[in-house]
Amino acid sequence: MPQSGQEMLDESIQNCKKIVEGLGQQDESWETSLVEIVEKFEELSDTFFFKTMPSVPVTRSAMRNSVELLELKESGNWDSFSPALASLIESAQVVIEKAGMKGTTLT
Amino acid sequence: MTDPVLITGGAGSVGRQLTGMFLEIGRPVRIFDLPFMDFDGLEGQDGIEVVKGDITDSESVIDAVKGVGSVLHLAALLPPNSEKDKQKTFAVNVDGTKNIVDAVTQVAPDAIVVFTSSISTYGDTSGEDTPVGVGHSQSAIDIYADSKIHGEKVVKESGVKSIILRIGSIAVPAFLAPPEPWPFTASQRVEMVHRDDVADALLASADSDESVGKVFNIAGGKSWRLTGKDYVEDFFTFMGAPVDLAVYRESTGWNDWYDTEESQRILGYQNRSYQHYSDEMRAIVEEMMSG
Repeated sequence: MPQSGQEMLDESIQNCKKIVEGLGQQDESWETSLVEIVEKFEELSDTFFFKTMPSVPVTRSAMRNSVELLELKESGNWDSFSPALASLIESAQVVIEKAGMKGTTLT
Repeated sequence: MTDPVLITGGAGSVGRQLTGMFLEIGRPVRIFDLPFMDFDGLEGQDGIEVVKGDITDSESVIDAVKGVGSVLHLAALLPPNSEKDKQKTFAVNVDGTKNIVDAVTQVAPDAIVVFTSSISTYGDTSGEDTPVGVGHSQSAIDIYADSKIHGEKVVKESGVKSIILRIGSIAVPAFLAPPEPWPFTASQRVEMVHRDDVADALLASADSDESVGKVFNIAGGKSWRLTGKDYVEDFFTFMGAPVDLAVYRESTGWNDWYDTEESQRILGYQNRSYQHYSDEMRAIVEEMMSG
């Protein structure tokens, strides 16, 4: 069943939280980046954008990147971790940018 | 007309759009807006003069008005901000308008002042026959409408050459979050107007001697006459969002269907139908999906 933007955002947040656990032992900057993504995603969660169709492709990219990063962490593949984290940051930035939609003013 | 047109609140989206339209027809533009606004793309451009100041400061308003041929007075506090502080809203929307007409009287007495009022000034007209004409009584149900009624009075009593545009709710063809609540009930009559049609009406008013002394309703025309439910359900469908997320006003608001026969005959601004707007919205969402 297709997932909504909100569901994929929630899944991305959960994946990022799992990745963060103990990550500081490998690289503190990785941990900092992921904590920032989680904080921003939680701040945006439940806003109108994630109820819309245009939220689906961008949150799908972020979710897939978070799944890949979690797999790399669980397999201890640290050589591939940094470029995969860069991809997640890039897709997260797209989500954050698009979700910052302005409101309608009706006078 | 070669004297510049002054656009108050001109650094906003409608002001920027109008600026481009005036430059296209070779008319210089003077933008007046608050110093902290973003003037990128305006400052230093040929044909554009930027005056930074506050509409509540009569001295800076005089600087802005000197030598202009027309004034499009857009600067105002809008809902929801207008509903937070009546004193501040009246300072900007009423006293600021007084500063404009006083300055025009002093330093640009031949200029036409176009005052942007609102159809909200009619109040709740839901139990009445339509369309609502400009002769209908005014009865504010919020601070914004109250300020616009007082603003109209200031303009009319000033003796300047003026045109009053009572503008309907503006439909912006963009990916925007919906208001919560929508300022009308589901069953209420609504007649929005396309943002670019409003710009066309303002452009046409700037030098319209025929319109001086008149009050016009500015609304979308017959194709835009819907119920609140029709409009909102279409909006959510364009966005691909569940319609049951829509939140309507609990009591009747100030939207209705409007008599725009005279404004359309003189200003010729109703150039975009509701179907046109719907097509634009679908295209915007499709582009977002593919991008």
